Amino acid sequence: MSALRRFFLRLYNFLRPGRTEPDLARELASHLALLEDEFIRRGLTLEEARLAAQRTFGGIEQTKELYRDARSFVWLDDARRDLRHAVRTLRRTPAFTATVVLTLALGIGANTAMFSEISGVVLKPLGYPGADRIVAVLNRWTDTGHTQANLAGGDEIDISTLPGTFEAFAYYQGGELGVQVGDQAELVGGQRVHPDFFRVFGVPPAAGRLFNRDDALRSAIVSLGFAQRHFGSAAGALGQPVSIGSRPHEIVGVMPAAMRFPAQTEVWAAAPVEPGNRNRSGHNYRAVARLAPGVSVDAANARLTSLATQLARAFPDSNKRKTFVATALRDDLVSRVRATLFVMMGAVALVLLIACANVANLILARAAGRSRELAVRAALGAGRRHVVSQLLAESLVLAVLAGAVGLLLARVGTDALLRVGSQYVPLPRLEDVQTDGRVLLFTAAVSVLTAVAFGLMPALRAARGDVSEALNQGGARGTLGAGSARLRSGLVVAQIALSFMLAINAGLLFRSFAALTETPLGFRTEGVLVAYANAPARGSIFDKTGLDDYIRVGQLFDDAFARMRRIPGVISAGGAMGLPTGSYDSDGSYAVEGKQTFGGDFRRLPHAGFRLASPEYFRTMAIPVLRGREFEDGDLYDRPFVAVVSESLARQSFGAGDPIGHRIMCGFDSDQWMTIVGVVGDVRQASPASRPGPELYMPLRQHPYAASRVQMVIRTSAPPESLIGAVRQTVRALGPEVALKFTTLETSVGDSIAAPRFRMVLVSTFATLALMLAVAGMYAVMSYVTSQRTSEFGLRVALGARAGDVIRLVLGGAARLVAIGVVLGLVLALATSRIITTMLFGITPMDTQAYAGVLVVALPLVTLAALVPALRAARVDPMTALREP
Amino acid sequence: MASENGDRVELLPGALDLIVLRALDTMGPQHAYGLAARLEQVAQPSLTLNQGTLYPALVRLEQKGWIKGTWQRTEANREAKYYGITRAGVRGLHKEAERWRRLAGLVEKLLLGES
Repeated sequence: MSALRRFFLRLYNFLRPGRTEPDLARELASHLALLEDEFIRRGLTLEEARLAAQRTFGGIEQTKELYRDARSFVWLDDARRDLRHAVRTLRRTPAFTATVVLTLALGIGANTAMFSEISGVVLKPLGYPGADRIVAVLNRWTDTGHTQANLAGGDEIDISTLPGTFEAFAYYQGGELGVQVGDQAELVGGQRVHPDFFRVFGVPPAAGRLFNRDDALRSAIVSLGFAQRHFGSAAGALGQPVSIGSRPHEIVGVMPAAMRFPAQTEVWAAAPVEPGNRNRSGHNYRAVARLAPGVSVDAANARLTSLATQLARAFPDSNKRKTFVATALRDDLVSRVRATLFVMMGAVALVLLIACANVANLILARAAGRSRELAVRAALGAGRRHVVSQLLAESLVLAVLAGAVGLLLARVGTDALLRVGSQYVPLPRLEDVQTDGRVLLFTAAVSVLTAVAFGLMPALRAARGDVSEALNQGGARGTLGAGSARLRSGLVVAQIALSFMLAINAGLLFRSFAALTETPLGFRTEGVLVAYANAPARGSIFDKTGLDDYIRVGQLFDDAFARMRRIPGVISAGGAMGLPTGSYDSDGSYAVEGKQTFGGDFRRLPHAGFRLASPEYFRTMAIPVLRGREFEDGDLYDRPFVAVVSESLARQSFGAGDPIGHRIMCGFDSDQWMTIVGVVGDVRQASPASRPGPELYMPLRQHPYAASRVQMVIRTSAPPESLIGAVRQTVRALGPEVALKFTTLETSVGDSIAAPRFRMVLVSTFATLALMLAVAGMYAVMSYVTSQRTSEFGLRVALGARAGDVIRLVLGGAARLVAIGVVLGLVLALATSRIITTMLFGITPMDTQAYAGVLVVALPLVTLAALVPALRAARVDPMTALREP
Repeated sequence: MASENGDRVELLPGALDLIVLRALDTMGPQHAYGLAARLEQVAQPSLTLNQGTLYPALVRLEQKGWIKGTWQRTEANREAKYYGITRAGVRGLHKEAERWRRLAGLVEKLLLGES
C-alpha cells in the first residue's frame, strides 16, 4: 500500500515540481538560519557564521538535486546504472556471454529467417490493388471432393457472365510459349489470356496499353524483363513484332515487375473473348476474377453453386458431379506450400525453445554461483526490486545482443533459404520474401520475451531466497539448493525430449526421402538429355485447320530424331508429349472395344494417363517393352491407328488376358479406334512419389495437333550436357523457328522431389542444431552438478572409491536424465509425427528404423556429453577436494 | 533507490532513515537542523555528515507517510519545518529496526566467516 502511495506522491511531484521548490528553498533557508544562530551563539561574527553554516550544511544545490531525485522518478538513472553494471558484469565472463548470445542468436536467427519466409509467402497480401477481391475460380468434383484448377470452356463462358458477380473475369491457358523475336526462337513462360486479364489485377502497364476486345490473336504484352532483354527498354518493345506459335503478334504493352501472375510469365498473348474449346468435358482453362464491389467471396460462391446446380440439371452427362469454387488468389497460391512452411516454423520454434531452455540453464548456474554475491548485496541494503532489476538488466543486454546477432544470422539465413529453396521448390512469390519491419518486430518480441522468460526465473529465485538462508545454506559453496538442481535437470530433460522429438521427425522425413530416391521409377534417369521443343504451327484442332502444317512439324521432329541419332555420343533419341516428371500432363477416360462404348457419362469409363511417343522413345527411356512392339516409323497419320498400353492398364482392362490386337479409344483428340500393338512397363509419371498407373501411349505422328510441342529425349554415352550444342544445331538446321529449352532427365526427376528434399534438409538441420544444444545443455548441467559434489567425490576417493566408480556415479546420473528425456521425446514424436504423415512416402509414422536410427546416433552423443565432467570428477585429488572451503 | 553519489555519506543505505525515525520517536518533533545536531552529537567522532544529506531521507520517509512536516516557530522565533513521526512511522520503525538487526547479524557472521 505504501509503495502505491509513494508512487502517486512521486507522480504528483513529478508532474507539479513548482509546488515543492519554494517549500524546499524556504526550508533550506530556515535550516541555514538556525545554523548561523548557533555559530553566532558560539561567538563567530555574522560573516563567519554564514560561511560556517554553509560549510556545515554542504552544497545547497547538491542537496536540492538529491531532494528532487528522492522526490520523483529516478528510473532512468537507475536503468542506466543497471545497464552499465550489466555490461561490466557480462564483460567479465566472456565465455558465458558468448555462449548465451550465440545460442539465443541461433534460435532467434532461425526463427526470423523462417518467419520472413512465411511472412513473405503466406501473410503478406499479394501487392495488387484490392488484392483481397482477386479470386481464382476452380472446378470441384462433388463426389470425390477433388478440386482442380482447370475449368471446361463451356462452363467458363457461363461463369464469366454470372450477372453482378465479377468486375472482371479472365480465363488463361499456357505455361510455356515458343516465342520468336527476329530469327531467334525461345521457349519462355507465357500465357494466352482473356483481354480482361490485367483488369483483374489492376496493374497499369509500364508502357503501352492493356488489351482490348479486338486484340485477340494479334497482340501481346510482355514483361519488363523480356522487353529489356530483347529491345533494350520498355518503350523500345512497343510496336515490335513477335511470333507466337507461328502467328505474328504485335507488342502493345509492357508490364512492370509488380505484375507476376502466373509466376515466371514473360509473355501474355491476347486470346479470344470466348475460349476455343467450348465443350463441358475438356478441362483446359484456368480462371481468375476480380469480385464486383460489395460481393464477398462467400456471396460469389453461393452464386457459383447455384449456377453449378442449374448446369448439372441441363447437362447431366458432363456436369452432374461438378461445382465451382471461388477462392482468394493468395490462398490458392500458397495452399500448396503452407503445410511445409508451418512444419518448418514448428521446427524452428522448437529450436528456439530448446535454446531458451539452454540459456535459462546457463543463467541458473550462474545465479547459483552468484547467490552469495546477491545475498551480500541484499544484506547491504539492496532492495528485492533492485536485485531483480539488476538481473533483468543483464538478461536484457544479453537479449539485445542476441537479437542483433540473430538478425544478422537471419539476413544470411533468409538469403540462404531463398537460394536453396528456389533450387528445390518453386515457392510462389519468393521475390516477396525479405527481412521486413514486421519481421524485425517479431525478432524484437522474441528477444524480449526470451529475456523475460530466462531472466525472470533466476532473478525471482534470487530475490525470493531468504538472504540469511542463502548465506547460511550456500555457506561456503554458494548454491541455490536442491530446488535449483531439480529445475536444471528438468530443463535438460525437456531439451533432450524436444530435440529427440525433432530428430525423430527428421529421421522420418529422411527415411521417406531415401525411399523416394531408391524407388524404381520404371525408366532410367542417368545419361539422358531432355530438350523441350516447341515448333510453331498454324491452325487449330477445334476447327480442324492447318493439318498440313502440323504434319509438316511432325516430320520435322522425326527428321531431327534421325539426325540426332547420328551425333557421336548419342545412343538413341526419341520424343514424347508427356515425359515423366516433365511439365506436360494429360489424362482422361478410355474405352475398350467390345467392353465399353465411348461417350455418355464418362465417369463410368476406366481412366488412364495419355502420352504421345515417337519410335525409339521407350528404348531411350529404358522402359521395357513387355509384349508386342514399340512405335515404328510407319505409324503415321494416314496409317491404321495404334496404341501401346502400360502394364497397369493391361491389368486394369484385360486382367491376365493379352491386350494385343484389341482396339481402344480415348478422348485425347480423336474418336478413332486404335489397335493395341504393345505393352510396356509401368512408370511413376509425376514424381517418384506417385503410384505407377495405367498409361495409354499413342504415336506422336498420329496426333499431329498435340505434337507441335515435344520433349526430346537423347540417351548419350557422354555427359548429357556436353551434347546440348550439337542437338541445338541439329534442330536449328531443320527449323530455326523451333524454340528449345534443355535439361536432363536426372534434373527433372530431382526437381520433382525437391519439396520433400527441402523439408528433409531443413528439418534435419534444425534437428542437428537442437541435438547440439541438448548436448551442450547436458554438458553444462553435469559439469555444474559434479562441481557441486567435488568434496563428496573427494571423500569417496579418500575412502577407497576408484575412478571407475566415480565415473559410473556421474554417468548414472546423466543416464537417468537421458532416459526420462528420451521416453518423453518418443511420446512427443509419436504424437507429432501425425502432422507429417501426409509428407511421408513409403514408410509409416511409426517407422521403427527412423526411431532406431535416431536412438543409435543421439543416445550415446547425449550421454557422452556427461563423460567429460565425469572424467574430471574422477581425477579429483581427495586432499584438494576436502580442503576446499 | 539508495544514493551512491560520491558525497561524504558513509552510512549504509537505509541506515539514515532508521536513525532519523528513531530520533523523532524518542525526541518528539524536530526540524532538520535539530535532527542533524542530534546525529552529530550521538555519532561523533565516527561520523561526519553534511547536514544537507538529511533531506533525501526526510523526503523518503515523508513519502512513505512515516513522518509528517509542519511549519512552526522555534523558541528563538525562527520559522522552521518540524517533522513528527506518524503512527505508521512507529510501526515502520519497529519493523525496520528488526530487519536491520537481523541483517547486521548476518553481515557480522559473514565478515567473521570471510576472515
